[in-house]
Amino acid sequence: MMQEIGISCWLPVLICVAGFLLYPVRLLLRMNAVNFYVDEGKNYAETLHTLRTHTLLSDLGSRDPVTALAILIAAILCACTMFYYLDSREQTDFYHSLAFTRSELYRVQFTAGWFSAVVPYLINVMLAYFLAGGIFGLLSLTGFVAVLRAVLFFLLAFSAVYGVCVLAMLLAGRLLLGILISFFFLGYGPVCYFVIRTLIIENLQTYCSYADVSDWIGWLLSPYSVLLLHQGQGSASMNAMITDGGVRNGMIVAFLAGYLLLSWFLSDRLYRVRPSETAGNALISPKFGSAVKVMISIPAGVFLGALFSYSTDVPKKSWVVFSLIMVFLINGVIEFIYSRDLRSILAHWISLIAELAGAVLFIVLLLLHPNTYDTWLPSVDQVSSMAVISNSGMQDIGDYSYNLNAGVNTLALFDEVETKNADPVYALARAGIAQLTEQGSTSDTYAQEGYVSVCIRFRLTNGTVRYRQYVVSDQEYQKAEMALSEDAAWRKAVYPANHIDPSEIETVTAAPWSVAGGTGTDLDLSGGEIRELIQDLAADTNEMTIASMQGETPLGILELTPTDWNNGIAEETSDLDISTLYIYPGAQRTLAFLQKQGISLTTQDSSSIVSADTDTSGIISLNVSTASDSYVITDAEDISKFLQHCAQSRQADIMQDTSWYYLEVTYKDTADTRYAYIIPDKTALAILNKYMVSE
Amino acid sequence: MLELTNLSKAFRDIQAVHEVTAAIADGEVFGLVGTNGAGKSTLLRLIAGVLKQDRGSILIDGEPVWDNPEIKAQICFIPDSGYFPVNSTPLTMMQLWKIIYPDFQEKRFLDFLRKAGISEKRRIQTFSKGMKKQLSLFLGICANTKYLLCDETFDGLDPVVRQAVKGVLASEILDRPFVPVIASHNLRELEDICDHVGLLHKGGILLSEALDDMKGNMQKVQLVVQDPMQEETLKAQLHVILSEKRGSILTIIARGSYQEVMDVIERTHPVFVENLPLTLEEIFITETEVAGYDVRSICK
Repeated sequence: MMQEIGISCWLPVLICVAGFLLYPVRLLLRMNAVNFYVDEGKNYAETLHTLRTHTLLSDLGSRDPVTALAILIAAILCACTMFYYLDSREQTDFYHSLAFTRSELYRVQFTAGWFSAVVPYLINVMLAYFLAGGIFGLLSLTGFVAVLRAVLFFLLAFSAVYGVCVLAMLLAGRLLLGILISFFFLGYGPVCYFVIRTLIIENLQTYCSYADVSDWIGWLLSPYSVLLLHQGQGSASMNAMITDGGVRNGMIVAFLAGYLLLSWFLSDRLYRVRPSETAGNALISPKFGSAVKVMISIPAGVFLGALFSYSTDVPKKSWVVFSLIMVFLINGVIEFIYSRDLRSILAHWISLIAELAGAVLFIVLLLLHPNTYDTWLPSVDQVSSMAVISNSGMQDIGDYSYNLNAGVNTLALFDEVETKNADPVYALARAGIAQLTEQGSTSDTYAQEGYVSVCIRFRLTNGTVRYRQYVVSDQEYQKAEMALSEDAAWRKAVYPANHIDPSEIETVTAAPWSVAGGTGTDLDLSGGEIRELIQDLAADTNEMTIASMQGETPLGILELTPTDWNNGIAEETSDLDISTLYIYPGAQRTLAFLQKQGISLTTQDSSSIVSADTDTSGIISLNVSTASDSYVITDAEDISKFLQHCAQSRQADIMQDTSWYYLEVTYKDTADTRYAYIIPDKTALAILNKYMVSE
Repeated sequence: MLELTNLSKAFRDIQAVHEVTAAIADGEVFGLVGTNGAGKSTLLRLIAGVLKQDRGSILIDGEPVWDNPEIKAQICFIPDSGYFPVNSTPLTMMQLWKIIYPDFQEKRFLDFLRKAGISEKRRIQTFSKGMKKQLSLFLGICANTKYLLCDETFDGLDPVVRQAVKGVLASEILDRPFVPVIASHNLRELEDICDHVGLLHKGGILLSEALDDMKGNMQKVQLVVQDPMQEETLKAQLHVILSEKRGSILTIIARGSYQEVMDVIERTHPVFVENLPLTLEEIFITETEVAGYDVRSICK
């Protein structure tokens, strides 16, 4: 093996040099650069130390993106170098005439390639840790253990990716094709999965695209995407999507180990029977080439065909034609890569027919299936529980939403909001199906005013789980919400105050309900006080149904600002995108807390924004707008009069009353702006007409 | 003892080796001759354990070769164009071969290099084709294996080295158990070295015999017979493989021992008769012509 490494000695040398630049040099440069980000102050040294520790552990940690990229390059490079002799008959004759069994030879070559990358990596990482840690005084046992764990993880990841690349090299007979098949193995599973999923989302209107394991399961289809999945856990969207959604580090490690064992087993078996005479051929077997061709051309052709047909105004059925053309072209390209002869592009016509038939079958299934998929609804006795979530939030509770597409852990959310109250859920589902079949409302429609997108999970009695996404009107959704909120457990599960982590709140501002009642007051609360306030608010709102909220006008608004900076290190914020929560008259605990803070929120007349004696002199201007017109009122007298003749619309009213206007109030002293939805009477409208702003 | 029994190997639809049966005894120098594409290299690659046969068996001292390191350790295969790693020198090749073949004779190898005037530190990439062949042979001989398989190895050597190598092979056979198997087109060379010759044609073996037996079983005679009728009688009574008449001189190649052939000829009372020595080349051409490989018709 040492001799083998010696023959390809340039490889470890190259990796060593690259590793030196990637680890010790990069780390020291970044350590020095930390100085530029820290202002000299009382905690200068401490902050610098914290940031440097963070830099050290992140650059040498298991989520270092540079190492992830380096693994890909090193794995392909090592696999190619150690097995490229299969490209040459002379070399194959030499290696295969040696007094080794095929298995022994495979093991020697595999291990030589592995050590060629691993030894330089270990040397450089350790050098980087001890050099940077020693210079900046960051050496610690915990830090070393953390780096060691990352090193072990990367070794496993490299081994798995390298194993797959070796398998690719054994299947290919040529160097270039070996590299292409390596990329095929590493990328095909995830890419194909996401391509098919995209086509399904595009064609199955009720397919719930963000609600189940299908969000991340495609990442498990290749060792490199498993590695990227692990890397992605550091990001807000991926982390929330997967960390509590079923993917654990143990699972990632298990999958990597599985890929390593599988690729090792397959490669060992393959190498034992690999005919030496295939040296220099494009592939170990023409059948394998045909299989790869079929596997690539069907999804790629269908996807490109879809892109082409969607980007033009041609009828949707032309998708089939475009796809067949694409399949034909892709087949030709792959055949050319195999044979390097243009005359051979139709040589394997049987596989070409299989590709064309496969593409047609896929499209036909996808185009015909929605009729049953989109209108499917289980019978009530088949369902053990249901859950409904929507990214519209609950308008009566505050201005917040679940950011379903990025950030929210939807699986956990579905578990929390489970209900057995079938009537409102089924009503919602039926409304969604009717909306789709009668109005043609699709998942894009929810972006329109008056519609909301809801996702329903049916947990069936046989243990399976089905998701459906519907577009329903705001009124339908509110009706379902009101019915569901009669259940105390549901309220506790759904109401946002129960999901706020007080440690993620940096500041709290309390403001009166009326926009003309003055701007908000920043509460100078300690962490414990913020926790107490949130607990009070949660306890208060949990006692209220949506129906009871709709019968009341809130007294005030709590504005919560989350923190995203903790000890100088960026933290991920909550999966709930919360900005404001309403305080209703029944929220006795919250009101008492605010009273202690010197803030008194009182009942106001909901028929008008201000009473006749409200001082509006602090207001500099009113900006009023509808979808088509806008107005700016600047006269103090008109401002006062206008406000007296406007009823304040709660956000919930927006769904039921379309006569609202959007109001921005700008204050003279603070230049603060507050917003509200209002319903002006005739007098107010008359004033408004004087201030129309022409476009 | 190397035994090939009903050995067959096909590359897709090309039958490279077909039902070859032959035996190579210890102490024999086996020459493998054949037409282009006859399957000589394939046969050697099969014996070396590089290729796996489709059918039949290859036994070396009673053991199969395929995936058998103990047997493969007794074989050194020198292919037509050998593999030398990039930037390798004779010295680094020696280091590599010392690992592969534990009984490698280092001193002898360095001695060969010195005598052939090959610098041990010069990069092999800069060597001529002949020098590479020399180096391959030196490595193969010094590997000290029982079986040395040479594929066209002698074809690029200059006459001096060729003679030297012949001598080395002869002395090796005397000194230790050594079985060289040499595939070549250079029949003249093989004739000098080999005791036993296998004649391959279209993947099948036409004959495999000791060279002396091969020559003894075939006679080349020049004669002049006055009576044309006698000439026809002669041809009918002999197993004539080839006959050619120029003027009054008839040249025939016929199967049979010297005595058998001469007895028949004498009965025709020839005016003149002379037994000519048969070269391996003539045997090769004659046998392949009989098998349908008519070289002369290609040239017409």
